[in-house]
Amino acid sequence: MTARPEATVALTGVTRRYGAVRALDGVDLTMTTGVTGLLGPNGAGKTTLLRMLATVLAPTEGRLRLLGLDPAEPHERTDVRRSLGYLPQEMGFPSGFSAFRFVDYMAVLKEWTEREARHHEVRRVLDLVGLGDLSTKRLKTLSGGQRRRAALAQALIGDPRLLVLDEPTTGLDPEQRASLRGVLSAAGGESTVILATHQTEDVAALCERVIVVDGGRVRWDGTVRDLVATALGKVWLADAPTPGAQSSWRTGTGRHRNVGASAPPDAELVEPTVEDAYLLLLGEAALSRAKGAVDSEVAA
Amino acid sequence: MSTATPTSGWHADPELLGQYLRGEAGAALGSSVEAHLLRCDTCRGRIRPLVDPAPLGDVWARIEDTVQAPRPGLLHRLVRRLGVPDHDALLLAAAPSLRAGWLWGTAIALLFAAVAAGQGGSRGAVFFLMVAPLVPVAGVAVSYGPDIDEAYEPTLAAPYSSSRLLMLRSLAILLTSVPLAALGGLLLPADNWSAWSAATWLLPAAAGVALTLAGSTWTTPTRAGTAVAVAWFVVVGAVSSPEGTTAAALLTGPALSLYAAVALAAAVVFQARSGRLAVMGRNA
Repeated sequence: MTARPEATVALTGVTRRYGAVRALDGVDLTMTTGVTGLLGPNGAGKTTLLRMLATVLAPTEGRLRLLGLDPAEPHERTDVRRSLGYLPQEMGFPSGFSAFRFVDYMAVLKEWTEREARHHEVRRVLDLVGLGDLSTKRLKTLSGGQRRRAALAQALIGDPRLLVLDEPTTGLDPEQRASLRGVLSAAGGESTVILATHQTEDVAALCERVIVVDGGRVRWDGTVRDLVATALGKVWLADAPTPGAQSSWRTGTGRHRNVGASAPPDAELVEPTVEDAYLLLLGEAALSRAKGAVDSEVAA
Repeated sequence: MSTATPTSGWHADPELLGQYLRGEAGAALGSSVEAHLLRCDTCRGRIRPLVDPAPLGDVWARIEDTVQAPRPGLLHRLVRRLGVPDHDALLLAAAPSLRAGWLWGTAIALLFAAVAAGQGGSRGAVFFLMVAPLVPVAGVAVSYGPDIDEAYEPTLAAPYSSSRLLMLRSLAILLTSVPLAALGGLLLPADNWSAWSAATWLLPAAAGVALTLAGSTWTTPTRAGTAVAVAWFVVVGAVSSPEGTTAAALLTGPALSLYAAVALAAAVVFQARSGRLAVMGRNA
């Protein structure tokens, strides 16, 4: 029997409230090394969850442990931060800074005080994200994708054991995304990498595990393959939109791709994707929420 | 021991090479060996296994860094020249309130206040009195925080202490804004006001900065600084007469003692609560 890997991330009944709104509602999760994708619609609670994993936001209720430590304790939180890389969803840069100076600045904050070693590390991470040749350019003169890569570079400083990335591929072209997948999959061999994204193809290509969050709760937690399997027999092609399909759109071939809970008996079934499964799951979750609201109204 | 003069067919023996590597060959012999090594493949081959690769790696890293690292910005270089370590200089260079635009704005505001004070007699002096202590307060208020720092979130997620970063930047702001405000004070007309206004406003400024820092453990530094500024305007407005004479009470013995006490108390509060700067949403 193989030993169960120690959890690097553990959430128990974690809730985060903003006033009356519950951005996260009693979330239980554990993670180990590997790449985990976090999917969910806007406002689902993904960013709140990632901010907690990045130790910048405290839970209102529940227990959070990162790398075996309690981030509520100041000294343990600092220890977690020594092994943490974090890319927030939105990020600005100090005015007038080049990519090199910005990553150098972040490296100082990550306690790389020895100049030559720090600069060596800065060049390494800038090369990793493909910005080595542009490192001296002012960030404001770079494209959105290049600035995003500079932001990602700072998260990679020191090969962190816990890498928390909020929409890392936003603004990247396909080649850059493919290159980034290589970097993240390599990181996932030794570290716990969790990335929130709206790009389901990134999840399919990169992640061993996928977590779907909606309404502050975990709606799915499992392997990508198992998520896709939930859509088997529920995706089909037809010459026209099928009544009753949850989603339907005209593809480049002129035929309509339909995603729904039940395909017609004579439907031409096709292989589902992560996106199909995700749409189905959220459709069911939305229905479940609506049903819950009606039930509680009736009960009242 | 070998002779020092390299000749055709002559090669340095291992003992001499060892002395050269250890820096024990002396200036004349050492430079002679060095000149020989530059043109002798055999001796370079002999010395190679004797050389410790670790220092060579360090030397190469320094050369690489010198060649490849971009030139630091003006503020970074200036701060370094003042003896501040390179890594602290970089942290200061990223502070919004230490950029040239902010410093120019501070200087212009103080110049305006001093000119107004010079032309407005006692009332002008009250105006200067209101403005000068707020200059360092405003600098501290916009030195760090979620609504000011462009890279606030990743900064917060780094192990570097948030309170140390805020203190470091606050100190730098005091070192830049206080001399500017003091210069503005010296521009006041040589009457009774100038004698105290050039220096005594430092105590209310210290109290204001300490209150801003302490307030930052409850809310953002910007909000804390704004609250301090509003409170200061209210106090000065409440005690000022049209002639400006009663405002002098704000800079006399009892008031100065009060500022010192407030500064001390606020500093204690900041020290006790500084850990709260390390996480967002601490008020939830």
